[in-house]
Amino acid sequence: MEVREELFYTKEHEWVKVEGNKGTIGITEYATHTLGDITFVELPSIETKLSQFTRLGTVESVKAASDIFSPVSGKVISVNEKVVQNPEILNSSPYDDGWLVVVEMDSLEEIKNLMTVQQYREYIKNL
Amino acid sequence: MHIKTGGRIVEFGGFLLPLQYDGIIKEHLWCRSSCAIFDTSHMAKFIFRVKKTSLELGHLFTIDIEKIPAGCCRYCFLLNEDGGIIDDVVVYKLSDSEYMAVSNAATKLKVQGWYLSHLKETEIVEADTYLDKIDIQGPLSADVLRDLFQIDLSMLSFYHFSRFTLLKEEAFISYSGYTGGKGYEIYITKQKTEELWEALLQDGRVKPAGLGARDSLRLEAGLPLYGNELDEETTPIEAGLGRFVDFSHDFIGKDILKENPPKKKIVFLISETRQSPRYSYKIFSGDEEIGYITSGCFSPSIQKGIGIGYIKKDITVPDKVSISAEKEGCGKINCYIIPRKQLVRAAGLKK
Repeated sequence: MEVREELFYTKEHEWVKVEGNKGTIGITEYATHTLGDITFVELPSIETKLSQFTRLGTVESVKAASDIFSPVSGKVISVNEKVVQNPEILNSSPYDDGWLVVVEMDSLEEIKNLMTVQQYREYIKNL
Repeated sequence: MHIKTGGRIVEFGGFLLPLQYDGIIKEHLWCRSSCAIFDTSHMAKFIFRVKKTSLELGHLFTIDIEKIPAGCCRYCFLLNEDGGIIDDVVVYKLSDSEYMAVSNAATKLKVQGWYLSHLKETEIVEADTYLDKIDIQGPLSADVLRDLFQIDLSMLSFYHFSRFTLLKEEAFISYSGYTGGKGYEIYITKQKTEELWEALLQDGRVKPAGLGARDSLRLEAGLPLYGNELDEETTPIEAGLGRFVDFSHDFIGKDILKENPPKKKIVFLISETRQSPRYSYKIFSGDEEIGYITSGCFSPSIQKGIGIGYIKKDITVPDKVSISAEKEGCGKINCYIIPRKQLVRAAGLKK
């Protein structure tokens, strides 16, 4: 299962890539593999205020609907309409084309509450 | 056998079963266009040897099993005294004095207890100990079985079965299944199951499918699942399956079923979008809560969400409803209520 060095992770299998005060958010390959074929994605609209570890949106597969939680707090400044139109992108490219939203982060301090790649790799090994 | 075939395994009714091999959508569409095989050996199979004058076995089923023609099987129910469904069953008439009832894995102990406590004169054989079942489903099923095993199924009609020799062993095959399309169920002795599974997979037209696709296929066909649409609080009439009840013979639950009006009504739904109704979501007409969803999934054939649920009996059925998980921040899903036939047609199944 692929994980990426430069990202921070949650226990619910979301990732965030931090560049300056911008955070790009997505879900991990572990999540997309576990869900199977993703058939529907619901994302927040631009300007929505997100809080760390609260609901950001929904992903659905044939069999199940799962909530996505935001790894960081902030205001949504960009939404990936391509994954809304073609949810299967999440299966084929969870770390690149399958990003979900970009937020303007409230605080870089919150990253302390997330897992590093080493921690996440250990975490999914034990699931 | 299934891990070798690439299956992802889940626990279901006390069995470890493959949820998916290649992905639910691929397996589903393959079954609709070609031929998919499902290992359904976990299902409960009981054989009954009946004394000629005894009516006790017939009293357990909602259809009159004596009226089943030789070489045929019938779908029906086991009911409790209140008319609630203990299980849904397919009954095969093996001979004048021999029947086989195939029911769900998760309810096996309950059903076995029901048989044991009601059958005093009938010999009950737990056929699971030696008999497995593989379902081969899809438009090319008969061609595959003909080419691999030189058996001719062209004379076999829907819900008929016959004995054949497969891999030098007697097996019996019925024209039936749980996908809403053409297909067969093969009953074979346990020693031959793996050999049959592997022989079938040698044919390029055949792919294995798991429980995930089994569920999405049956939902598109508007077929109920015990534990979701059917349970002991639900009658066959409420489930819209009154045609599998024959009131001209005596059976447990008959009087109450006849007297008590239904309390709810089954509905079939199709979403306006790819978002799906899901088990336990509530159904609203305007602001009024009128029912709940019992099964839902994304339909690979229709490319929209589909579902089955129940609504209150005493209201006019609205054309359009909204479905809600009732979780904070979750929007409502707009759905149309459609007749079962329309769902089946939308899925490309001619019925």
